[in-house]
Amino acid sequence: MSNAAMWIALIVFSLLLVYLGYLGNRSTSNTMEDFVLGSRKLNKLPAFFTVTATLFSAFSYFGITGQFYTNGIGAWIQVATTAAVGPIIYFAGTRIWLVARRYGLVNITEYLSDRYASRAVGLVAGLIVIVALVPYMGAQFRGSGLTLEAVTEGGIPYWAGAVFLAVVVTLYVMSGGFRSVVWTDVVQGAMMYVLLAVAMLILVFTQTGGFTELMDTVGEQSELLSNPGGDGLFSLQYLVSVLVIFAAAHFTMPQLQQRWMAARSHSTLKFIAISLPVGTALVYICCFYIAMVGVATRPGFPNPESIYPAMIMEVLPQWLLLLAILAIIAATGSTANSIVLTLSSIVAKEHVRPVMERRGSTGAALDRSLTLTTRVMLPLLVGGGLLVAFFGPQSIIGIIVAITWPAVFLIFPTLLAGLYWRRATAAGAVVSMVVSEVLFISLDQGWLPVPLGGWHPAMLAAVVGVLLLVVVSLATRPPAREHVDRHFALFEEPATTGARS
Amino acid sequence: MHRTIALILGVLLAALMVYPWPEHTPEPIILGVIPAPLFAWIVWVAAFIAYVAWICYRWDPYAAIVQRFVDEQAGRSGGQEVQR
Repeated sequence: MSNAAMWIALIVFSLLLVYLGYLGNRSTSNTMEDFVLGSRKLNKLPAFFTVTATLFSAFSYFGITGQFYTNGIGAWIQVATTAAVGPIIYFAGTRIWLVARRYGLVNITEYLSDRYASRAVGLVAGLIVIVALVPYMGAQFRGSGLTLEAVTEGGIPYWAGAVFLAVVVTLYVMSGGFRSVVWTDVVQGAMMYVLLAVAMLILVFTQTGGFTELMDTVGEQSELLSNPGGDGLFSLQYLVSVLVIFAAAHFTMPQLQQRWMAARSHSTLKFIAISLPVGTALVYICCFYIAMVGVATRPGFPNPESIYPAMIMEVLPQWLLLLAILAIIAATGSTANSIVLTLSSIVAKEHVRPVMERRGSTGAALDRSLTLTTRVMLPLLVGGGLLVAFFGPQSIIGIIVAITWPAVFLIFPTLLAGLYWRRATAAGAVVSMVVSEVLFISLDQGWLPVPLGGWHPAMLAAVVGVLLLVVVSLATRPPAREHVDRHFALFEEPATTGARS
Repeated sequence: MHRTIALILGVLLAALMVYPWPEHTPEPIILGVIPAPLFAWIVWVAAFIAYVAWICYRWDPYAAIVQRFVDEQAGRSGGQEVQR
């Protein structure tokens, strides 16, 4: 592909995103609630696109296609995890939606600090998500750099592709915060769905003659088309582990949490719970057929995760390839933008606010200062992501990206206990998170040689975390009853609430 | 009653997901385009979405709490904002 065409497409695309950022800026005020959550006015359709665009990075659908190619239809388990998060969004999500609205909370760590009446809980949770998500964001910039370098055969160097995405994301997120993120996600999400579907149809019909012919060809390798899948990967333990870990992690992931908190109404929250698996299923169906085209036409492909970009580069006409590449860049951008906004708000609320409060800043002035801090933190965190993309050894980035979701999953027991168990204490929460994370990393890296019998190491770590949360909570003093009532009175009958107060 | 039904249905659906049927055969290929196991999993997702919709719209155990909160917020803000 010619460099000039790619650069022109990138510039036009980035101008569109920055313009959407500018539109977001026009209706954004200098309050945290507005900059970080769009004043909690997220409607249904934008919610669908921003949630799914945030969830799926380019790596996701490269990885999904690669897994279908290698292991067959067992990869569908991930669609089940997004369906299984539905009841969690309804029950736990409604609680956090109400509490966050009542007390003006804008992210998960602020909720945890408030609920447990302890800065330590928010700090530990914040540290875990920052360590897990900055490399995850860096991986998006790396993806942009590698993709553009590959399709232009080095015409756009790796560093330019990575910096391009980082600068564009920073510009539009700084400009309009959450509103800009949502509107660019609508465009980027729509591109992702449409171009993935178009690419799938073109690949199926030009490479194999149609769906029936494709199934006839692949049917000879029946293991890939049979439940639970090939290579013995999808054992019962694996399927249960993935179902539990990812359903809980989808709910806990801080950038997705902000979308539950930002829902305009309870009806929007319910819509998200129902529409999320629909969007996921659409992506997975496309990836399944794309992978099967790969199986039929390119057996033994050395790097299955590259099968999708490799095929579209050979098959799509240039103008459509250009759009497909933009869709890949859009998918990386729509994941990075949400992460950086969420992390900035966490740093402002958990790390900067206490300092400002000690200096006597309060009320609207404090809120304005925190909004400014969130804006200033955006390029700094993006810079951190770029450093990871340039200097992080690929093996280490690979490990961190692989453990991001399980690491966030291990915050889930603390979050759930905060929402449902009055007796949960800050000491229990901190011990649970720290010990389960350390145990998980030790098991995952093989530093602790414990036979797991096919279970994911995060499952054992979570069991230990829950036990510690219960035992330490029962052994320590809970926050004052009046404080805990702030969180639970909302969910009790008015008569009961009156009796308590 | 609703709680018991929701629990039983949830456990049943989760079990069907992790112990998928039919196993170890791609046959039949439904309409020549979808292998039976994938079709079964698509039906599973549709069933689970129906289950979540039943929780959200038919049972809706948080309806009264949300309504009370919305009324309270509307009272505070002079009858504006906050939709259910």
